Amino acid sequence: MPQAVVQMKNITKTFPGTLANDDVSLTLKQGEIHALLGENGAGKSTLMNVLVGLYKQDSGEILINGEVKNFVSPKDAIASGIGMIHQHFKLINAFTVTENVLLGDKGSLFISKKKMQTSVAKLANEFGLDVDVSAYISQISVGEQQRVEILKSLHKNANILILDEPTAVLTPQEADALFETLRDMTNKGCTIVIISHKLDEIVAIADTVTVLQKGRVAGVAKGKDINQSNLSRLMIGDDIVLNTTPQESNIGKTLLDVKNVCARNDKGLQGLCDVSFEIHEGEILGVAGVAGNGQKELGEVLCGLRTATKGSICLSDKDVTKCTVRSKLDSGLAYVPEDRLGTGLIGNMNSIDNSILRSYYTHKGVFIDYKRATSDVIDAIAEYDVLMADPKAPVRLMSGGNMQKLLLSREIALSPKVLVLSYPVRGLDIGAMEKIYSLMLEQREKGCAILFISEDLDALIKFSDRIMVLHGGSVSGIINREDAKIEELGLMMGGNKEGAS
Amino acid sequence: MKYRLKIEKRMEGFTGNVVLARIIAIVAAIILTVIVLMIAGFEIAKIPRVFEKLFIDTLFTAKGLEKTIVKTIPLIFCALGVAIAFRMKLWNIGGEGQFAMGAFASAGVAMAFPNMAAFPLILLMLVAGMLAGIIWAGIAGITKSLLGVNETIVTLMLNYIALLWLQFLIIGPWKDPLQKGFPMAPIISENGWLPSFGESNIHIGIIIAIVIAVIYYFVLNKSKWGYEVRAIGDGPKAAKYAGMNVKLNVILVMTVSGALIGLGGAIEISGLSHRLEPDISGGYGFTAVIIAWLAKLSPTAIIIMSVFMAALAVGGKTMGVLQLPAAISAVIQGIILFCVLAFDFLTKYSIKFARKETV
Repeated sequence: MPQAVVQMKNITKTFPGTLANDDVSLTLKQGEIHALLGENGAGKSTLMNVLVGLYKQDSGEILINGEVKNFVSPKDAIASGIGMIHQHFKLINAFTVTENVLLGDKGSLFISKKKMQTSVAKLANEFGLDVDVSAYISQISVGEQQRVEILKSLHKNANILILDEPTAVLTPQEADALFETLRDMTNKGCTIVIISHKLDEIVAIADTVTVLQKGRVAGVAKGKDINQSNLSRLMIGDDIVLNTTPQESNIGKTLLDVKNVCARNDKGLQGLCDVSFEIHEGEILGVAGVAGNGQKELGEVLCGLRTATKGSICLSDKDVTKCTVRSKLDSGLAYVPEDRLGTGLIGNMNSIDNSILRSYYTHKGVFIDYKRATSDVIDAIAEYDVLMADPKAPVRLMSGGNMQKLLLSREIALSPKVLVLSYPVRGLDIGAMEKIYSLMLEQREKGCAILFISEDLDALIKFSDRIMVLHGGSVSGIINREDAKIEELGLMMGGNKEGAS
Repeated sequence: MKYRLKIEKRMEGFTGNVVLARIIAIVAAIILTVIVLMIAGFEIAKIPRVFEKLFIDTLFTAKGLEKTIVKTIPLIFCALGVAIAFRMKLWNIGGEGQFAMGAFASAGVAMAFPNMAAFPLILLMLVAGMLAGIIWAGIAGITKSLLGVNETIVTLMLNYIALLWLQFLIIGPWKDPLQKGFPMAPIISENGWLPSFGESNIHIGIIIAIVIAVIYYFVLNKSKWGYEVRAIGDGPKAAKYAGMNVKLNVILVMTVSGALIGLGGAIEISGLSHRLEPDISGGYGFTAVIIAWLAKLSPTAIIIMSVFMAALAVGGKTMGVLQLPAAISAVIQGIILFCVLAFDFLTKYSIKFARKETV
């Protein structure tokens, strides 16, 4: 029987107005991968922040290796061997990997660069973490940066590692590599906690799963009890794992016709290269590809935020290639951008102000008709199940799912002919995902032409009529849903042209 | 068991009691001021007199209040002007220069047309002041918008040019021959004087200032253009996604900012000084930055903070009676600002006592 390295007993933590953790208990055993599962706002991060000493619990106690501990700061937690890897890495871009790992060390006045590098390389080797220790952070990939974060914790002798949504920023291949590393580490005696809401990866990797729901433990699953339907039932109370299915649609005339479009990316290099496709009335064209292969540029070129250097874009037979954002809006092109907070919504503004972002200029006269805007928002809240305390509160306080519902409701209110959705469910929990997908299908039935950019191949195959694969800014191929297989899509995402297998 | 202070970040969206934080800040500021006075060797028994001079005499006596209100007027114009730029995250710290140029232009108009009838002359003076402010702030707006030049540096540098320009005029071409050796500009024709209330120095500039504060509120919070300003300030990417013209708005906002401050300068000439003085801007442009910041850009708070800062300035001049330098009011201003900003962290963090493990 492995030893319990961490016991959190009856932890309760309240914030004014919210009970973030209510009598939560959690036991971590030596050498296991323990998943902490729950929807957004279920209290996962709060619980871990209590464990690492960022928050102080109101009641309850924490035992590390059987001893009661009271962490006052993350320093105390690290001293007890607990390290946390946050979703957003805390690395210094202008420093090398070695310098980042050793940051905060108390050493002698002068340090030998060579010695430092050897010691960090040795540590990386020991745990099978493949990184170039002399490279600058700005030069390495996101996957490598994550390994540097893990190295930082290991260097501080952490043997209990908490990873907050570790795969959110990784490609499927990088995620697989991470899981192998984590498994390796547990074999060497480390204990790992993964905070996640992706069911499939939890099923693949976790030894034990603790499911949180509204701040309470909804259940603990072990061994063969760890399966998708069991976990999702614990997470939201009943079995509704994406049971939205598209109806047979009536595909009509061409609404969006894109021909040989080229565009530059933010670095001024070729971001899109000779992209051609068309979308018809009532059709969803899925866009697959590893993130950063032209999806962002494609969305921005279509909505007018980026100019096409070559090619043409026709929207229901009207050439809109050179049109501004606003005239594209007026011709019926709606866009849900990839970063919903920043481009899609303004965090400091309230829901009412955000709801008029794309239509305020149509209000008559000099002033904005706030009476109408407010009642529209109240209607949208009811119609789209947006949960919010107060439409006058800044939207940055809303959960990701509610933000996205608000954003999508705003774009749908424009009654678009063409709807471009860029990663519409990224980071959302199942309930919100379901809602967003059903809204997308509803628009398709209304005859909207939809461009659906996603990283979730299952969802792409399920909802798209056709799937276009992007690689390096150009189209690897467009295949019909009936012919789409994950393996083939995977190859095309890697740059293989259609049929060239 | 030892106890140790634990500072904990409040959850996003839950701010602590802002009023309480402000009260703590003011109490702390008073304590710090007392300490400073004691270090300076000031008699402890006389310390309450300092506060009396600074706040009671300036706000609750007719004569003091008159002086305070007169000083409040330019502050409101300058603070509203910088506030609208700040709202769009344009750091206009050139209030001094814009105010000076506004004053210069209106004095120039009054000197050029001394015989014009009162109403058209005053109107012309105010318009000239606004135009001068627009040009002075617009330079920074245009270079920022078209070339990406940092507006903070440009507005700051233009201050020095404006102030030296006034020096030059007063020593040189505009020197009043009647003043014998003294370098002073001549008094403008009485037709260009803004009406005052009764015998007092308080002129109708105060009413114009309050009306503009009300307009500022409605434009910023209710109009389409105000919406654009707020959206560009809070989310420039989202503003482009909404199809807003960010570059044009940078120029427009700097124009409005300069117009308000320039108008303040014109009103100072027409309403109070009646002649161009080298130090006409009197630090208003910089104090306005502090006011706008403390007021969190709210027009109501800007009016209140302007009165407060004016009282400090007026009270500071009377410190000589207590054998204290006038600079003491600047010290107190600094202490208050420091305390308000320092205690603002209470709204974002909470302080708790935690038991510290004895190892």
